[in-house]
Amino acid sequence: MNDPILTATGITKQFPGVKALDNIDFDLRAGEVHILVGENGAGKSTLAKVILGAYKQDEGTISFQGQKMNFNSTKDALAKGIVAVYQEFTLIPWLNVAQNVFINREYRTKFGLIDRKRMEREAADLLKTLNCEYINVKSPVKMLSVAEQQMVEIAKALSFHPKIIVFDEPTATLSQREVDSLFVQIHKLKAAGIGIIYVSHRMQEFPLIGDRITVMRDGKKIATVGIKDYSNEELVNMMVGRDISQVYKRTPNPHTGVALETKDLCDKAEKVKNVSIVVNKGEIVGLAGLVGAGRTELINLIFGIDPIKSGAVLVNGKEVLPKSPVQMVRKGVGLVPEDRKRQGLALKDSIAWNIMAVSLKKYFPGFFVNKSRMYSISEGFKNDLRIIAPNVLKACKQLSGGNQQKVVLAKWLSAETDILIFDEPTRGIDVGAKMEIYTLMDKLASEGKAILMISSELPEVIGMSDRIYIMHEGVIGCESKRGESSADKIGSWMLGVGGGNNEK
Amino acid sequence: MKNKWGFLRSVQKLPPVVWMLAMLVIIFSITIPDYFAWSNITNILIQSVPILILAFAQTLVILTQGVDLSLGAQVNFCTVIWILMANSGIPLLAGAVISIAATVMIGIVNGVIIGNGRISPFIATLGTQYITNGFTLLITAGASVYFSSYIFLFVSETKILFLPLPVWIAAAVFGVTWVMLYRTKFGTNIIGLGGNSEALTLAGISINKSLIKTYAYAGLLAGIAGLITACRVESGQPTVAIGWEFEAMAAVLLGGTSLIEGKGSLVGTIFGVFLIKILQNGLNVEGVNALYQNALIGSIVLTAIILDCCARRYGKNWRNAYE
Amino acid sequence: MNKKLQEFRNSSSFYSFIGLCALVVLCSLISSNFRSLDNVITILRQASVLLILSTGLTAVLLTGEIDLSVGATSGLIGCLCAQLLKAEFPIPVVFLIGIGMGVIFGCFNGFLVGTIKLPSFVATYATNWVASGLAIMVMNGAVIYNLPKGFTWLGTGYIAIFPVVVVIAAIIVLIAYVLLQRTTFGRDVYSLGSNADAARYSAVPVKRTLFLTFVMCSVCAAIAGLLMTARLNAADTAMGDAYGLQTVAAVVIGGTSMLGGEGSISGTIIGALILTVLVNIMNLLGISSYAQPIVAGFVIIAMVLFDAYKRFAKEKSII
Repeated sequence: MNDPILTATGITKQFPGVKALDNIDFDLRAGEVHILVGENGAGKSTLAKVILGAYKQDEGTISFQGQKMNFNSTKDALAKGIVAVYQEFTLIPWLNVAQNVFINREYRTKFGLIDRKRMEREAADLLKTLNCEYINVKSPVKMLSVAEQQMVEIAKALSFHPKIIVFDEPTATLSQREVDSLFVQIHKLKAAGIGIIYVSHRMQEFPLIGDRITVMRDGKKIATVGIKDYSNEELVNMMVGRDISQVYKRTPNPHTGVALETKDLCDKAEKVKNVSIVVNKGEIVGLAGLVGAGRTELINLIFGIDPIKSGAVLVNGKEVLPKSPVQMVRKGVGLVPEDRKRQGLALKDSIAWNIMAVSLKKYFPGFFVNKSRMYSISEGFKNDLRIIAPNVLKACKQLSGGNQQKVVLAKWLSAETDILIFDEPTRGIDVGAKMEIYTLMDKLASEGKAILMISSELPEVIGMSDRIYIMHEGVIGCESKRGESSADKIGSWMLGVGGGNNEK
Repeated sequence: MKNKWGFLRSVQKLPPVVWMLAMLVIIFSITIPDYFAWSNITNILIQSVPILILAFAQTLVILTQGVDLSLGAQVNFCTVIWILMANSGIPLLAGAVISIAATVMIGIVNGVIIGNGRISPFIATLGTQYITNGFTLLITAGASVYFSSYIFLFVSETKILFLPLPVWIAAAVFGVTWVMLYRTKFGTNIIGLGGNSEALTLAGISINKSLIKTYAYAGLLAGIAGLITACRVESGQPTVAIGWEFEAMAAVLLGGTSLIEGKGSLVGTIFGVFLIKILQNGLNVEGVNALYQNALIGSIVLTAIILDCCARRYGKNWRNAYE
Repeated sequence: MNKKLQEFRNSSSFYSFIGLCALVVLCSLISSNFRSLDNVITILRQASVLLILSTGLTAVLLTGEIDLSVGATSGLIGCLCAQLLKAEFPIPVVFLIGIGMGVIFGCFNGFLVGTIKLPSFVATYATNWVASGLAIMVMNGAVIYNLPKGFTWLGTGYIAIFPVVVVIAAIIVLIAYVLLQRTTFGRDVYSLGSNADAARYSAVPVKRTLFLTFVMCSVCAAIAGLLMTARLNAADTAMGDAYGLQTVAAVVIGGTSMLGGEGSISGTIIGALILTVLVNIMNLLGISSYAQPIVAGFVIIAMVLFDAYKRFAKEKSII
């Protein structure tokens, strides 16, 4: 049980412009949960993909059960029993559970038709081992909750009789209860001798599930430690590489006056329950919590994307009923959305058009657009934010994640809103760009803007915020001022544990 | 009291097309004497056959998030070449096989253009519609072509269990298509194409091959519809089926198949076809002014579509004629 | 200037333009009749109605939607106005009513797609059905001909060497070009088509933009219907039907994507011209009218395939 079933030595992987993996050593024992942690861009997903055969390493070797492996595709890894459960589900909505589990591997009857009964029986067995008998194998996957869909994904992985399962951010879309039940399943898989690689950065969960943890940063392995041998603070320092206060440099400035306020806000889907928060001018307020806590739903209410059931939103002291983003932008509220590819940018369009998307009407109030003036305005912003691209005519599709996010930021900078809401501003971005974004946010705050920031990365939330609200299952559980609470405490509040009620 | 509400709720659970159809039948049966006379029912059924078959084909195509605008043209083409071949001495049976093979070929061409060429199914099948219709008109110089054979009468008039043979053929087509869609890998792939094509690629399934097979099958069904039509009119007609693909499409959408989700139902399609056909038949028999019929039917179809869309958005999951 | 050329070369209409040039060169070589000024004017005149329809449809396609009702709408309004003219309504009033009907139709389409959120394919197919039924009702089985001269001048008259229809088409195309390429409204249209979600988050007025594009399209259909009636000096319930799908083909051949966000009026001009030149040369060569759709079909598929191929090749070389 203690010999590694998988050993990776000296793995290096280069992409154009960035060294994603730099001489990584990694090993996995049977029956252990080995956590891979690191900030966005640290290389943990890349390493996982190399192990899964999705990428091929430039240098280094992988040995599985003592034998050297040469994976050319995920099919090779699959044949050896290395399976992934991804964040983005690979399920087909209107096929049922059984059909999804056995997609392209359907059992046939003598007549060549699909043997439904056998598929359903085996799928039901798989679900039973996951303690999910309540999921009806005949129901279309679309009708299941997100957590149930994830169970189906796991069942699908199990149907390959895997020796190694790689989980990529599995708890990203689960509620607390669902996370608990996932962890029960993972313990069972451990007991069955399956090796598990668990890629995540939700530090608050690690003690519940992990055996060992490998910290990565900038494509390098920093350390591999046992789960009991460190504290959250040390972990954060390893992930970030220097003293937190260096990375998240904040200039102190006066917080004058309330810019944005919500009072007892509720949504129709009951994801936001009586939320009251305050954001002052010149302040950065962090909104921490697990995904599914209701944070994105909250800002969707504020920005006019979803309808409000009850409660009030006040901008600069005056009550507003948010009906649409068009209206809220006019009131001075901007939103940098979570999914920059689907909600933040029109990838097909050029940088210039994307930067001017909101502010076009501001610069050209007379209805007619002067293209050359538009290009020069957008060039100005491109240079200010140091967006790396030959010119503003390039399509955003071709930019890196960090540069794409900068374009979204440029868009809202040009709109000059007094209140800015950021939803996971540094997700999927390399470290260099992250620093630039932090500097920018600090600068905006010192100019008197009010900033509300949703983040699931504890170091970021703790480092950047003047005040932190912790949201848990739709409710603001706690509030904490800068430097008041430790990472451990905030982590546990996010899990809903030990709610000290600093509610104002 | 409880039962009453239970009944109403289960009605609410049905897709709108079903209870709209029921309402229509009730209205017509009250206002038309002998509505349920066997001759009237047979009439409706026989008129529905070609559109039914095309609608089954269109259901599969729409499930893959596409549309086939060339179906009507394929039907025209099939009737014409069958009769022309018969006139040149080719025996009817052989001619039928060849004609169907020809429409399957057109379907394959559709699939290749759409899959490998990666262009919109709308434009691709519009192009093949133009080409096929043009070709059909060219070889007939715009006129109908005739041939007489007892086989035509045999096919269109023979009754099994009091129902005309074409109705049985349509039922058989339904049966085969149903089994194919819900009990074979091909069918599973079709649903996958519309729902999450990336998942299919990840699972190792070739999207292009599935597309080609789908359009080829549609061509097969168009051929069958063409043969039946030729038997009924005892001739090859180059323009008889113009617009049929749209009527088929309307029926499919009325039946609840979604254009964007990979969700659909063959049974729903049947309801959709009957909604349109019963409406047409009823209005005709009632003697509603021919000038008003089109607008009326169009409005009812529009209303049904709106109801369907609203019901889908606001209603809780109704029983999907799935399985 | 260089930037403009680079923009054009990268635009989706570039290859359509090449196609048009090739076609024109080919036709000039094949037929001497083709090269005459007379024929050029004829081509322009024959392209006008299709161009007006396609211009309106371009706006809708750019937002990622489709309008299948242009054919029946143009026919309906043409028939309606013919009836009004026969009832001796003054010509300007008839015009206003016609365009007003276009606005109403556009609003209805916009309502179905924007407010009820029906898929535009389904909604406009249904409204097309209703419109064609209404056209039959309006005509009441009668045939109308011999319309007032002041009206038919629009269809058959000339201003200098140009037919009036060509001038009207040019004006409409110009207005649409300015609207779509040079105004904030036009930018909203493109944003909506590029990524509807991102447009919403970027404070683009989604519903209003959709409404306006559908109104634009139906108004163009109304004008096209009026001109059709003027040209034929008669009204026929089915006169617009053939244009329904042809219009979509013209817009798509011109490089506008059915997914939205890509394309332009200049491309649509090219697309309409390609189809018209094609028909023109086939007529000049005496090709049977039955064979013409075959050629048209091949050209449509070839153009779209070629465009898609180039687009994917371009994407691959960059990644």
